This record gives sequence, structure tokens and C-alpha cells, in this order.
Amino acid sequence: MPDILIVDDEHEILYILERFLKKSGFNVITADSGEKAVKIMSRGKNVDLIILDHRMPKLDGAGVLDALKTLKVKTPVVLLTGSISKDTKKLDVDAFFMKPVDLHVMLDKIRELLSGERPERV
Amino acid sequence: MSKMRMAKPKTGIRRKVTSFIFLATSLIMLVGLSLGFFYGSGLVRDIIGKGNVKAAENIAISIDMLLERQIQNIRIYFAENPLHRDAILESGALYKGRTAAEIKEHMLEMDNKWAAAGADSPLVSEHLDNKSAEQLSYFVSTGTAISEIFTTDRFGGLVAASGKTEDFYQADEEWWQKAYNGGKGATYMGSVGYDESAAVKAVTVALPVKDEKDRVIGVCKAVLNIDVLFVIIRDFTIGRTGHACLVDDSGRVIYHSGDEYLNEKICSYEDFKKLVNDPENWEILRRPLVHERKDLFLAFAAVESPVLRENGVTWRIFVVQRSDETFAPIRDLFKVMALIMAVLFLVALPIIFFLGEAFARPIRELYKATERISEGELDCPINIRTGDEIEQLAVSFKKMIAIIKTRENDLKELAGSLEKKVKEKTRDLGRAQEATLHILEDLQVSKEELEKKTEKLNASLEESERSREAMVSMLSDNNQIREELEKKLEELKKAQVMLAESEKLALVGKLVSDMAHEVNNPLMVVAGRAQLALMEDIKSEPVKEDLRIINDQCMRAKDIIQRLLTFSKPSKGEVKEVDVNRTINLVIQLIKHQYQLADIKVIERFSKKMPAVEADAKQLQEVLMNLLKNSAEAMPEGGTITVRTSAPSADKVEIDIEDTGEGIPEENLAKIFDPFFTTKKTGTGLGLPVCHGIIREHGGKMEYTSVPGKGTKVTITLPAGKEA
Repeated sequence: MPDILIVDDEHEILYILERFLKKSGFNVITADSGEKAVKIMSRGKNVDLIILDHRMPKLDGAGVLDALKTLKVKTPVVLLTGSISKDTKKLDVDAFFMKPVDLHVMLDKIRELLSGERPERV
Repeated sequence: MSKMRMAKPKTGIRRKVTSFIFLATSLIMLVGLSLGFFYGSGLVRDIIGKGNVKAAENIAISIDMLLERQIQNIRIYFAENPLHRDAILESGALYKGRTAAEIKEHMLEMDNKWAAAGADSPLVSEHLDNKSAEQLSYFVSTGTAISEIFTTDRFGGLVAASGKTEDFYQADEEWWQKAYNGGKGATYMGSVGYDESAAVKAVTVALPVKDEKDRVIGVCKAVLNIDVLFVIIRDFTIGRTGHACLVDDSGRVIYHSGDEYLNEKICSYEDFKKLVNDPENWEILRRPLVHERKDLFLAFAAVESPVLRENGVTWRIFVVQRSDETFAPIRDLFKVMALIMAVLFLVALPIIFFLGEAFARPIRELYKATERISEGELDCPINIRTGDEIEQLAVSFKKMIAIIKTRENDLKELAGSLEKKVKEKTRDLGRAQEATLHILEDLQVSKEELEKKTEKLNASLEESERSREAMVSMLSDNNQIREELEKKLEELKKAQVMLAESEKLALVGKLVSDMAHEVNNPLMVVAGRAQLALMEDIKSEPVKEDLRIINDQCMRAKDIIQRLLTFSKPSKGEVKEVDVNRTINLVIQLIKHQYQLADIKVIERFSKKMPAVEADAKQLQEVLMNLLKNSAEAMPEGGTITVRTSAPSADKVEIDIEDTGEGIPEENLAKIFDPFFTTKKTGTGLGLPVCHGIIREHGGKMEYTSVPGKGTKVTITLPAGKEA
């Protein structure tokens, strides 16, 4: 079963995503801040995909991405954001969705990314 | 009325129209003639070419038939006359039992004897006067083309001849070996040449003589007189220079109606190869080696004869004619066409002139009428009935004349009444003059007194004039200053309105962006919960429907927010050349007063040599306003803001805004451009990111340097000139 890390500061959202993904047959790990997410990843945790919230206090989505880059983690990342702007589009992620998300559409994308047919991120 | 006459135009309209038609017609005729000539000459050349090829083919077929018939004749002659066969067999029987070397020795001995023998020696008469030889002589005298014939046995020894041959022994000759062909027999055909023994231009053929069982028993050689054989070539002519000739595979003339070009090449070997490979079988040969190097029109056909093929000889019949003669008909045709055109043109000339005149006449009449009218003859009649624009012009002209006439009458009436009035007034004046004279006399008395007073008055007047002038100049200066002030005020008002507008927009953008983040999270929760619930096993269809609607409405709200975001997103608006100094000055003028109250001094240090920048002035003002505001907020106790402009290079301008505020701590300096990062209690954290976005959008950059406690300096670099 693939492992997915969900990062969001809103516990309600973490709950929804966790329940949905578990029901869809994934192992789920959650982090309610950017710092926790980076900590999990830096410990060498084997994660197949990261769902990342864009706007978080202190270390936000962009910060987490920078940290992952430094850690040379190449796990695919799906970004969740409140508003899609030019800056969001510039971020180096595999997919982004604007909240609120159609969970089934997101699930399709996740399965596509996990099937391995994606260009390697630089 | 003015008597000025217009100068007569140098080129009349008639001449213009005539020349135009003349030129157009000539051009059409010339083009037609040239096209006709080129097309026609191509066509005629093709026809003549094909005709000549046909003639060459006919000659080739005739030659082939004649040649074959001659050979066939000889073959049949020997088959039908056993006498010759017997003579040959008899001669061959002499060598029975001898070895080849012995035969050869005997032959050479005979050859020597033969060469030494006189015309009436017994050896010669043995071969020339035997029965077989007599028959051969008779055959030559009855045949038309054969000038000489003789036979040998199968060892090459002479058997019988129609005339004395050069040698006795013939087996060492090429023709003999080819015809004997090691006992198998073949037809030999030699090249064309001058045969001295027969004193004719001749071609040699040699055939095997066979017995009844078809065995080769000897060889016969016949010399064909080609003057007889090729009579069809000799007699063929076209016009003055056209004739036929026979050409071998190297391009050499081997038979010609005259002797002049015999054995000459008609052109170089390369040209000849090109010529005979031409698929049309005809060509115009430029500068040939014959016929005084005049261009030749050549058509040709190969002689398809089995005997030629067997001997590897290619003969071609060439029909030759000087091209200038060939094309004479085309040139004649062209001359006739040109003549017809010229005649047609001469006929057309009067028509062209007539047309020109018909076109020019009404205009000329109108011109004459205007001339007469301008000389005062207003009643001059204009009768133009052309039914076109010129008639319309005449009608409008008439209308104009009518108007002039009424005006003139009015003027005359006015002049009459004026005259009357002048007369009356003159009379009155005369009376008044008399009265004035009286008064003048009285006045003369007090004149001197008056003069004195006038002098005094003049002096004081001069003085007052001087002071008035001074006042006037002062007033005009005042006016100028006032006008300038009004202009500045107007500009300031405009700038204020623009700034208010862009501030409003930035506020909306900020609001929507905030809202998007704040509202979309709860929306996500609501929609997410609904979607999760929908995944449960719910039996009640209405409940499912409710959940679906909850989800759909959340998505709708998301769409609305997304649209709002698109609307308020900053993007480069109206871009034009902007004077940086002036733009900064306008912003400073707006805030200066307010800042003075907060004890903040704004100093301008502007470089005078600043290139223009391609930018959206509104957005630039927004950026400056924001930065100045930030600087002011960093100095709650007051301080100084220094604004500098400079152009470090021709394609770059720099704007520095430096304050003496509290500065930015180093850990915050990296985050100041992050959206929603703020240290202020009421700030949204959007001001600087928006400014940064605008500058980036303009292809520029923005840099902060700060010393905590001392102040902050922000440097904006923008590309200058057209490259922006």
C-alpha cells in the first residue's frame, strides 16, 4: 500500500483527506505544520507522495518545497492552495488543486502520479 | 473686374487623349505581333521539322530496300547458276590432299605470278575468259548498280572475275575472312569509298557461295556503284539549299549529292552525339563545320538494314537545309502581319484623332465660355449636350453665373444709392466747412495760448505713459505665473485622481486574495465532508441529493472567488514613455504636506540626464506611494526621506528611496516580499509584494539594504528606452 504524507495546518482538512485516502486504500501520515512535514521527511521516512497545503503559518508550502529540495527528496508533490496565482504556477510541484477540491479528481491525479509515468523533477 | 487671362495650357486634353489611345493601341498591337510571331514560328518550325524527319525516313527505307535487293540479287544469281558453283568446286579440288602450308605456299607463288602478268597473259585470260567469268561480266553489264564482281574458292584463290583483280590470293583480305566466316558464311559490307579499279564511288559487299547442301564452297565479292545505289539521295532537294546526305556513326559525310563535303564532319563528335540523341530527330545546328558555318536545319533517320546491323555499321540519312531558308516563310508571314497592322493603324489614326477631338471639344467650349465670362460677357451662351460629367459641369457653371449676375445687380443698386448719399453728405460738408472757417478764425486768436498749455500737458502725459508701461509689464508677468500655477494645479488634480484609483484597485486585489485563502479553507471542509458522506452507504435518496447540492454550491463559491482573483490580479496596463523625475515629483507633491505635519522631510536629488522609461505610469506611482508610505511608517518620530534618481548607463535608470527610520532586522529582510508577511499591527503584508510584482512586470528589480536603527534604502532598477 502506498504511503501518503498530508501536510495542512487545518485539522478539519487533515481529517477529511486522511479518511478519504484511507478509504481509497492508502497508508496515511499527517503533519499539521510545514516544520513537522520537513522533520518527517528528513528522518528518511519512505513516503510515495506528499499532499501539501500552500498557506501555512511559519513554514509555508513554498518553504517546505525549498527544504525538500535541500534534502534532495524527489517524492511527487500535490499542492493545495486557496488561490491559484502566477507565483503558485511557478512552484516546482507535480500538480496543484484549488480548494475546495473534488476528492475523486484529486485521487485520479494521485494514482496517475504513483503509477510512475511522470518526468523526474529537477 | 479682373482682366487676368489664364495662360493657355501647354498640352491640350485632345493631345493627351489621342496620345493615350495611340500608345495603348500600339502597345497591344506590338504585344500581339510578338506573341503571334513566337507562337507561330514555334509551330511552323515543328511542322517543318516533322516533315523533314518524314522525308529522311522515306529515303532511309528506300536505301535499305535497294541495298537488300542488290544483295538478294547476287545471292539468287549464284543459287540459280550452277556453272559458277562448278567452277569454284573444280578450283577447290586442285588442292585436295595438300597441307595448309603447301596451299599457302602455292597461293603466294600464284599471287606473285598474277602481279607480274600482263593483261593478255595466259594466266589472266584463264581466270577472266573462262565460262564463269564470261557469265559474271554479262551479269555486271546487265545489273545497274554492280560495277565489278569475282569469285574465289574456299582457299581464297581467284576462280573467275568480271575484270582483272589486284591480287590472286584473297584469303588474307578482311572481306574474305568475314564472308567465309570459318566455313559458316556471313554477309560482309564494307565502308563507302572510292574504288580505283572501278573508277567509281563504291561500297564493297562479299557473300559466301554455297552448294546445294548449303555448304560454303567459296566467296564472291561485288563492288556496288553508290552513285546508282544512292541516286535517291543525290536527287533529293528542298528549295534552294535543302538536300540529303548519308552520314556514318562518327558524323562523317559518306555520301553527298555533290563532292564538296565528302568525308567531312558536319560538326564536332560531341555535338553529333547530342544531335542524334535528340528525341525529336530534328534540330537547328548552330555554326556547323560545313556550309560556311551557317546555321543548319537538320532532320535525320537511321537506315535500318540487317546487313548494316550485322557489320556493326550505322548509316543515317540527313535532310539538311540552311535555317535562314527554312524560316523564310515565317519571316515572310511576320512581314505581312506587320504590314497589315501598320495599315490598320493608319486607318485607325483618324478615328483616334476624331475620338480625341470629340472628348476635348466640350471642354474647350466650356473653357472659351469661362474666358469670355471672365472678361465681363456674363450673357455668353453655353451649349454642351454630352450627357456626361462635362455637361454637369456646364450646368453647375451656368448656376454659378446666375448667382454672379444677381450679386452684380445688387452691387450696382448699392453703388447707386451710395452715390446719392455721398452727394448729399458732400453738400452738408460744404456747409459745415463754411461754418468751421468762421470758428477757425475765432480760434486762431486763442491758439497761441493753447499751444503753451499743450506743451505742459505733453510733458505730464509722457511721464504717465512711462508709469503705465511699467504697470502693464508687471501685470503680464503676474498673468504668466498665474497660468503656470493653474496648469500645475490641474496636473496635480489629475495625478490625485489616478492615484486614488490605483489604490482602490490594489485594495480590492488584497481583499479578494485574503478572502480566497480565508474562505476556501472552510469551503474545503464543507465540500470535503459532503463528499465523504456521499461515499457512505446512504439509503435515503433525498439526503444524497442534499449532500450533492452542498458540494456543488461549494464548488460554485470557489468559481466566483477564482473569477474575482483574475479580475484584481495586477498586470501591466497602459504602457508609454514616462519621465521618471516628473512621476516621482508628482507623488511627492501629493504627500509632502501630510508628511510635513508628521515632521518628515522629503529631499529630491534628481539627475537631469534621465532617459525615458517605458512603463505604466499609474503602477509606477502606486509603487512609489507605497514605498514612501513604508518609509514614513518606519519613522514615527519624524526624519528625512531622500529620493535620488540616476542613469548608471543609457539603458538603465535607478531610483533610491532612503529613510532614517528604525530599519529592518536581518531575519526579516529576506521575507519582506513574501505575501502576508507583515510586522505592522494593521498591515496585510501585501504592499511590498505588489510593488515587487509591478517592478518585475516592468523587467526591473527592487533591492533592500537596511541597518537596524539607522535606516533603510530601497533601490529600484528599471530598463530604459525602447527595450523595456
